[in-house]
Amino acid sequence: MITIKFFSTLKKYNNDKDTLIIDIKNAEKIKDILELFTFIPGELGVILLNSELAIEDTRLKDGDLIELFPIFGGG
Amino acid sequence: MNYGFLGKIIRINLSDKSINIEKPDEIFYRTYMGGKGFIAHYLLKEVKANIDPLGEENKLIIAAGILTGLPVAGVPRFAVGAKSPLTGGYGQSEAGGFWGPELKKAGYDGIIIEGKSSIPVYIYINDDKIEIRSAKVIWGMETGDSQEAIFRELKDKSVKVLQIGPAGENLVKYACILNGLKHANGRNGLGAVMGSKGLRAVVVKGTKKIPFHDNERISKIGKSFLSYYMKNPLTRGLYEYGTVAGIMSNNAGGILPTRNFNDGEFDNAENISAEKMVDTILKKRVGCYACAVRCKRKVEVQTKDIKVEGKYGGPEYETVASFGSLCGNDNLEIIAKANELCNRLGMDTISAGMTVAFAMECFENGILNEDDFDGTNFSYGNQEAILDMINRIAKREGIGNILAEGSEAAAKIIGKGCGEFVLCVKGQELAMHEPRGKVGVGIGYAVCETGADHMVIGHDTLFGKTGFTLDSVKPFGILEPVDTVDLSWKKIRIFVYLQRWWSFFNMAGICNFVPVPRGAMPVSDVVELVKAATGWETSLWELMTAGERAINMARLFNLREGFTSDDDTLPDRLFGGLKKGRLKGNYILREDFKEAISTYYSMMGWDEKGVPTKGKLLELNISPEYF
Repeated sequence: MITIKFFSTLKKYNNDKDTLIIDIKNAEKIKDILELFTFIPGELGVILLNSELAIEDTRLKDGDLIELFPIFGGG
Repeated sequence: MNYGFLGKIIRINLSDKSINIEKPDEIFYRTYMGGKGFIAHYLLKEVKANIDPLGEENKLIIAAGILTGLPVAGVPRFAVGAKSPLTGGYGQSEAGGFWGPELKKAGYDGIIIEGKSSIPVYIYINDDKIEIRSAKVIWGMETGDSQEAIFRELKDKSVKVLQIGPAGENLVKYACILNGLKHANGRNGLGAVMGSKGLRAVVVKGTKKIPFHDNERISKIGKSFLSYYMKNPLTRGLYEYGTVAGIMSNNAGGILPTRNFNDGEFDNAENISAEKMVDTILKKRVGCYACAVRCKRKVEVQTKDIKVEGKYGGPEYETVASFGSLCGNDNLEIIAKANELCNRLGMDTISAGMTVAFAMECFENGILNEDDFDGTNFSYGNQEAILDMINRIAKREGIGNILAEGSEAAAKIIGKGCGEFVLCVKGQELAMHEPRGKVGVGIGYAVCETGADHMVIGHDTLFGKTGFTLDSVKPFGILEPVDTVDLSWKKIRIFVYLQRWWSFFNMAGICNFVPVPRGAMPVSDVVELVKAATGWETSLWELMTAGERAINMARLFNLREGFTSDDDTLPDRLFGGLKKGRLKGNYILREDFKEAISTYYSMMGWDEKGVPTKGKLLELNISPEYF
């Protein structure tokens, strides 16, 4: 089981909900999970895996928490 | 026939009460365009070196842009400039809202305000009628009350009021200028310059139509923007969550300024997040003239202890961070109240929050104690103390009188080694962006003519990897991603190109939340808008060059005031490691930073001391009379 948390505008990829828990067998890396969604290239900013900074190639294991934040460029 | 600009600038002398209209030619407008271009021109040409920023000789320049008032999203802006009392250098700050377009509808592109009135006054511009009126009744009032009093006196609620508050009257060095009670020319203490002149407000009513060359083309570009801006993640995000969305994104990345830039992560960030705001105090998404993005917030709070009125708007990202994580405060209602107080009293929320955080660090380290705060514990996170201190600063009461000078000047008065807690460049407090995770922002802080400012370029995160934001800047020849902490020449190259683009925004009256890379409108449409508005057969090259010209002119002003390359640096804290967060330990290597600044100078055509070469100045059509 992998838990995915979506922040602000990214919630639209999860029916406007914060959290999605998925049971996925073949996901080795974060990018395998990201491919399940239709993110616009460049839309994702920070990715956290179990509260640590991660990249798309970071490996997954059962029980992981992925947190996805949109790109932010100054406000 | 002029298009885009009106061809008229008002000159008002408050000492002798003279009012004149000047009519610069088209070459003037095509060279300086507005905003920063006008300000740099008039300050360099008319303000003598080394004057007192709060004296009679300083001039306050209010300048709309060449596109201000265009009926499309993102062009409501105007700039105010003067010699800054906070930095002692080139002073300038932009604002959105509705005041800039109103000035152009009244028939003017800008106002030069000279001298000093012996009694409090306000200026009233009603199309062709311009008056200097007594402000005796409104002097001392909070902004909301004074705006109501002006409406009553003029028997017209539709006038647009640009004003200072009590903080500006009291010459607080980071007093701001507000229009519509919530749109601020926040930075550089220009409200104090206005206050020093005895000028409480500039009220405008305009009923004319701004002439544009090709209204059909403008309408087409405007409608096109409406068809795609909600598909762009950045502009959609600005509408849905406002700039406050940056709290959680920056916190996740370890770059949310926390406890006076000691940390990059705040434990309770979710309590001050955009999501929290949407779920609790948000009443409405609001925006500026003709803009569909509506990035601004109207919030209201009605609890037993805190009441926040919606007419003062709502806190944006900068304010949520400066009175939130920076001060160790996780109460969004207190932040909303701090924002309201700053708008009632007329103070820049960034410098005010930074100065409060500085005082908190002094307290935590025993440099200031409870006696200095009338028995109050002024540790990080003391929510009531934050609100109390905002009032004290604006009214210059107790230690508020020292903190009203700005954190750098306050540290010199307080002494005891507290200078290490000051996070300023050229005397101005850093904005809420962490250079140890976005080094390009650090270059911007260091070289910006107004001191530490976050509005110099698009931030590093926009170009750190491939995707739609990088694609959007390919017309500049920026083709490959450069890491957010890369300080090499590749980053500087992006910086110098986009600094010119941003500088042009200022001169045109454009908000950076609409065009790429921070917004959605492509480069080609921005150039087309200038063509359609003015009728000029212009190009990206000409617009970028205009931006570069203004950067160089502002640089000349600062050099004349005695600034040197030694001032193009960062506070010491940023050359040390972040103490907490996901980037814990990250620091900027001092030598790398010096090398980056040196590379910047050379790319700008400046010598090793940061002085523009004669050839560069002449190439930019800056004639020898300016240097």
